[in-house]
This record gives sequence, structure tokens and C-alpha cells, in this order.
Amino acid sequence: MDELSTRFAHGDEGVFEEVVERYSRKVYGLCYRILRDEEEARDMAQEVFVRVYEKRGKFGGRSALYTWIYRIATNMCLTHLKRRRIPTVPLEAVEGMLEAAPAGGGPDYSRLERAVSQAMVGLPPRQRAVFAMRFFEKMSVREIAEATGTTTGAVKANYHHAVRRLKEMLGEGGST
Amino acid sequence: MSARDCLDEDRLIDFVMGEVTGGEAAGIEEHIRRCPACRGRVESLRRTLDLAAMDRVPEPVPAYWEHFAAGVRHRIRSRAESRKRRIRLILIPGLATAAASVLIVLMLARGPVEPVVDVEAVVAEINTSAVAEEVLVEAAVDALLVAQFGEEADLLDNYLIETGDVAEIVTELDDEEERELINKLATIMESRGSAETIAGKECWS
Repeated sequence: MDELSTRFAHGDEGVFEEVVERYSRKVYGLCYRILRDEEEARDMAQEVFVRVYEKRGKFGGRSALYTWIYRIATNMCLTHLKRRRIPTVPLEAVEGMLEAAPAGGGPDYSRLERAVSQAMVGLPPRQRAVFAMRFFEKMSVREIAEATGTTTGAVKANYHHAVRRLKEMLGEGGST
Repeated sequence: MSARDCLDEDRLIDFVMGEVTGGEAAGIEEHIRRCPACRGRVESLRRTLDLAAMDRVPEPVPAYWEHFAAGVRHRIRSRAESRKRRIRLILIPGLATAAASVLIVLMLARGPVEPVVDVEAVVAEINTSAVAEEVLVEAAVDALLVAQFGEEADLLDNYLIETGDVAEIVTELDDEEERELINKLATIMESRGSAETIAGKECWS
């Protein structure tokens, strides 16, 4: 456990500001990747740290501080998504965006990025969370299991499902 | 190479992610070299992940980060005040008892479809925890507020999952408020009398 985590675990009141400073951008990024809505992610990132503050007495140092914070963030985002109507993204919509990329003059990156973003929205929320932590945050399967409160087997299954789904939505259409 | 020798898709994903090492990785590479079908699948996976890597997180305006910590502090203060107001509602005669009924109705209404509230855990908590009554009462007050004002019922999740919340809130009350709360809880306990059930489970006796 690093010094910050140790101080946080021991209830050092002054350490909270440092925790916010160190993890706010990462938490915002994770929230965005799960919620896929910038405004909601900005709001949720702050709410996550409110919850971190309120629950600070429960952090016993059994897991790394950032996986504990990620767990709070993931739970809050997934709970939030349960309550809002999640837009479904038909496969054809993503394929259409990819096919509309110009044949000559190189790839249209903005269009590709939009297609990729739409494909991410098309993932079920938990798969989205696992994919974000594994692929973008480079967290280990064990760390993600801690952060999502599930097993390493479930994390692997979610990750594999996510990649297969993305491949279905992007794989063949991604060739330029 | 026959199709039945082809590699499992999940293993290929692990391979593309660099999670297969040593002799197994060498074996997969050798297979891919000789198997056009698996080679095509690996190329497709790599292309997929290359595209996924294009996914960007929008950067908020600088002011957002400049005021981030202050915003969190403001929310913490507001939340503490809000909770304190809610706990004070318990002190209004009759409200908590009514709220407890609403809580039970809400929990029953949610039923087994959406296990946001873990009934087993709540029952176990009520039977074993020193703060269980406070947890129930605060959750009940929140539930009553939700029922009355039509807010989203997220407060239920928060309080029934983390029982320590109420202990923290109670420490924020002054001595007089704490005495009133204890008296009120004692009254509620007496008024319950016989056993009640949540979703068919006996939760206290």
C-alpha cells in the first residue's frame, strides 16, 4: 500500500484533497467510458468523490485505494444507467457510419471516431466498464474483479463478450 | 488444417491482447502462420482493437478541473446538511412509523425482479447489527420522501447497502437531538410489537 493509501486508510483528514487531485481525471474518464455522456460524467465524477469521502471509514486497505475508488465509481455509474433509458444502437447504424467513410484521400477519422463511440454505446454497461478498465486503463483482471465486485472469470467473460461485440460492430467494416 | 483444430476465439482475444506468453504463445503463432482462417480472425481482432483505441474521452473545460475539488467540498457540505434534515424528520411524531410501512411496501413492490435491495442481507443486518434500527428508520424516512415527492428511489440503495452511513449521521447530531432520536427509536420499537415481515422473511421479533 502506498503512502497516500496508508494515510487514507488511517483516517488522515488532510489526505482527501490529495486523493481528489490524484484520481479525479481517472475517475472522470472511467465515468465517461461507462456513461458515454460528457455532462453526466462530469457530474458523476464529483459525486463519486462525495461518496469516497462519506465512505472513507470503510476503506480498510485490503485493496488498492484506486480499485476501491473505481469500485465506487463503477457501482454508481451502473446504478445510474439502470435508471436512465439506455439508447440502443442498431448494428446497422455503426456499419453505415463505417461504410460512409470516403474511399479515397485516407480515412475520415472523425467519422470513424463517431462510429467507434457508437459501438461503445452498443455494449452492455458492465461489459463497457470492464472493457474500459482492461483496455484503456490497463488494469489486471484481478484488479478489475476487485473494482467490479465480481470474479476474475466473470471479468474475462465480460471482456471477451465486449471484444466480440465490438468486432461484430466494427471488425469487418473497419478495413480501409 | 481442419476447422476443428482452429483456436478458440477467447484465446485469440487473449493472444491479441498479449496475455498469452511462452510456449503457448509460440504455439498459437505457429498455428496462425499455417491457418488462414485463424490468421483472418486475428487480423480482424487487431483491426477491431485498433479502432477501439480511437475512442476518446472528451476533455472538460479547464474551469471544470480548477473548481473540481471545491465542487466536491460543496456537495459534501450540502449532502451532510440534507441528511441532517432528513434524520430530523424522524423526530416528528408518527412519521417514522409511517415511513417504515412505506419502506416495506416499496420493498415488496420491487419484489424479486430487480434485486437492488438485497432482502437477505437486510434481514441479516437487522438481526445482527447494532445500528440496524437506525438504518431501517432512515431508509424508511427516505422511502417516505420518495413516495411523497416522486424522487428516484436511489436513497434506498445507498442506505440499505452501507449501514455505516447512519452511524456517521448520528454522530453529527447534537446531544439533545441524539436523545430525541434514541427516544423515538425506542417508541418505534415498542409500537412494532409483533413480528413483521419483509418479502415473506421474518426480519425482527
